[in-house]
Amino acid sequence: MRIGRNAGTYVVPLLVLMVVAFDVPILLMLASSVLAPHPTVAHWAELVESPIYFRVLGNTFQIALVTAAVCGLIGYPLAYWMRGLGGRAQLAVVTLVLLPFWISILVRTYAWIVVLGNNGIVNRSLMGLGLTDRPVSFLYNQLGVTIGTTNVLLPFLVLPLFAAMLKIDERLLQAAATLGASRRAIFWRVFFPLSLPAFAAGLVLVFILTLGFYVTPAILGGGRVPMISSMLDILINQMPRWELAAAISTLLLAVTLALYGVYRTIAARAA
Amino acid sequence: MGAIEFDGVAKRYGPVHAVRDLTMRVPEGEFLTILGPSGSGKTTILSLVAGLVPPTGGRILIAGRDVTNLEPQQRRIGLVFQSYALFPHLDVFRNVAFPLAVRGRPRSEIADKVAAALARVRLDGFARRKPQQLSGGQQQRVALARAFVFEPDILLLDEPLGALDRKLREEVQVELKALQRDLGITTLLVTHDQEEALSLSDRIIVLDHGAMQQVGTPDEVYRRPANRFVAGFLGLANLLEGRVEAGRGLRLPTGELVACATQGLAEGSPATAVVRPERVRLLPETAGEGIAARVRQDVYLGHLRRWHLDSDAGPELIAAAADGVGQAAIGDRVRVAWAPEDVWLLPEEARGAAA
Repeated sequence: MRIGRNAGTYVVPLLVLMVVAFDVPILLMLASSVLAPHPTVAHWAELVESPIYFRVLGNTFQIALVTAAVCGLIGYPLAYWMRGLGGRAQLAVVTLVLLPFWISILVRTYAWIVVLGNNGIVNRSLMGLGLTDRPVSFLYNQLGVTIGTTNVLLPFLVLPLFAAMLKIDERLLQAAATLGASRRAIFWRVFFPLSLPAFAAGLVLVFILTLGFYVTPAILGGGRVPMISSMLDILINQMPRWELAAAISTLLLAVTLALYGVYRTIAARAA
Repeated sequence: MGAIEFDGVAKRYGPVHAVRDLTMRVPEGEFLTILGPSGSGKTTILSLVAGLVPPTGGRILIAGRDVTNLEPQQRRIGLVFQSYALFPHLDVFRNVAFPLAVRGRPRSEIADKVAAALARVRLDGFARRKPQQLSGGQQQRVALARAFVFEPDILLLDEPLGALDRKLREEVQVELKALQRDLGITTLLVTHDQEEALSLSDRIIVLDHGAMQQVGTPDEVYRRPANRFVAGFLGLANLLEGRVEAGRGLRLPTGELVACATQGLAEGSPATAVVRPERVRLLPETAGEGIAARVRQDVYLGHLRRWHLDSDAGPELIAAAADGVGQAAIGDRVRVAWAPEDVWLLPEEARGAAA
C-alpha cells in the first residue's frame, strides 16, 4: 500500500502539469468552435456548407489511403523477408529500417527535394537511361507527397508487423507442411491469416498518422497539395480563422479517435 | 499404411552426432516407441522421418518408397507435435479438414471424413470451437484426428501425452493404443516416459547419445536389458557386480553367490547382475538365505511401498512390493533374496555404451 500511495504522490504533479498545460488548452481550443465569440453553430455551418473544406478532407483521406496501401505493398514483403533472415543479417536489416528515425524528418524531407528534383539523381538517371526525355515532376504534387509520407511512415508498419511475424510459431508452418500443404498453401492458409491482424493494425496506424501529417506534405507538396494540416496552418496563421480551424480540428480528432478505436480492436486481436 | 525402414540413417549437427548409423525396420502396423532421455536424439529421428530436417547420411523408406529427399508434404505422414500445433485461427472442423482441403478434396467428402474422425476421438459437437477454447486433452485429440484423417502411411507422435496431467495421460494412453490398433497404422512414438513406452508399444527402441542401445518388446527391454543404461533407464534396477561361476551364478566380491543362469558367460569373467526391485523379497534377519541388509529408507507410493537398503554385499539395494505385502521399518535388519530366474546378467563389455 505504501508503495502505491507513494507512486501516486509522485505522479500527481505530472498529472496536474499535463492537464493544465496540455489537455485544458486543447479542450478550450476545440470548444472555441462552438463558443467563440459566443455560443454558435455558425462555424460548423460554414464548414459543412463550403465545398472547399470537404475537398481538402477528401484529398487528405485519399493521400492517407494511398500511403497506407503503398506502405502495405512494400512493408509486408519486407517484413516477411526480414523474418526469414539469419540472426546477424536480420539485426542489420532491422537497423537499416530504424535508421531513418535517427535523422530529423525535416532533413529527410529536404533530401527528397534534392533526390526527386528536376536535376535530381532520379530524373538524371531516367533521362540518362533514355526512359524519358523531359524531367518527370515528382515534386509539388500528390506523387511527391505520397513518396515522402511513405518513406517516413513505412517503419511504423514494418516493425510491428515484423515483430508479429516473429511470434508466429514455426511449428505451425511445419505442421501444415507435414499435413500436405504446398508452400503457397502454407502461406495463404496459415501464415497470412495469422499475420493479418498485425498487418491491418499497421495499415490503420499509417492511415491515422498520414491524416495529421504536416511537415512532409507541406514541403513536398509545395502548397499545391492541400491537406488538412496545411489548411489549418492557413486558417490559423493567414486568415486568421481560429474558430473554423477549431471545428476542423474537432472533426479530425473525432475521425482519428474512431480509427484509433478500430486499430486497438484489431491490435488486441493480433496479440 | 506401410513399413518404415532406416538404412544407416545419421544426423550430425557440426561435431554433435544427434543420430548415429540407425538401421532397422518397423513392420507395417507396428507401434514402435523411441525411448530416451532428452538430448538422446529421439526427436531428431522423428524429424528425419517427417522430413523437417535432412539426414547427413543413409536412407529412409516409407511403405517401400525412398523418401530421403522428399519434402514433408510429399511423405504422406501424420505428425502430432508435442505442442499440438493446432492452427489458432481455424476452428476444430477446419483444423481437421486442413490436410483434406489442401489436397483439394470435394466438400462433401471432407465433411464426412472430418465428422468420422472427430467421432473417433469423441469430439463430435466440438467442430465449431476454436482450439483455445478446448482443454489440453481435447486439443491433443484434435491434433490426433488431424493427423490420421487423410489416411497417411504412418503416424508420428512427438511426446503427445507430455503436456497432460497424470490421470488424463493414463486415459489417453488406453485410447491411443485402441485407436492405433483400429486404424492398423504404423506408428512411431517418441517419449522419455518409460511407463508410456512399456504400456503402449509393440516394440521399444532405447536410445542414448544418438545410438540405439536396444530394440525389443517391452518385456524384453525391461527384463533383459542389453546394458546398464537400458537397465537404469527403464525403471529402478539393482546392479550387483561380480565374477561369473559357470553354471552356478555370480560371485560377489564380498563372497555371496547370486544364483542365476550364467547365459554362457565364461568362468571368472566380470559381469553385472540386474534384479528389479519388485522381484526382491524381504526376509526376516533369521532367514537362512539371501544377503543381509539394513533398511535405510521406507518410501510409500500408494500402490507400492519401496525400501532402500544398505547391504553387506556392497551397493544400495532397492526392494518394492504392493502396499500391504511385506513389512520393514527404518533401521530393521533384514535379509534380501530373489529367485534365480529373476536375475539377468550383463557381461562386462555391455557396461560402457554411454560413450
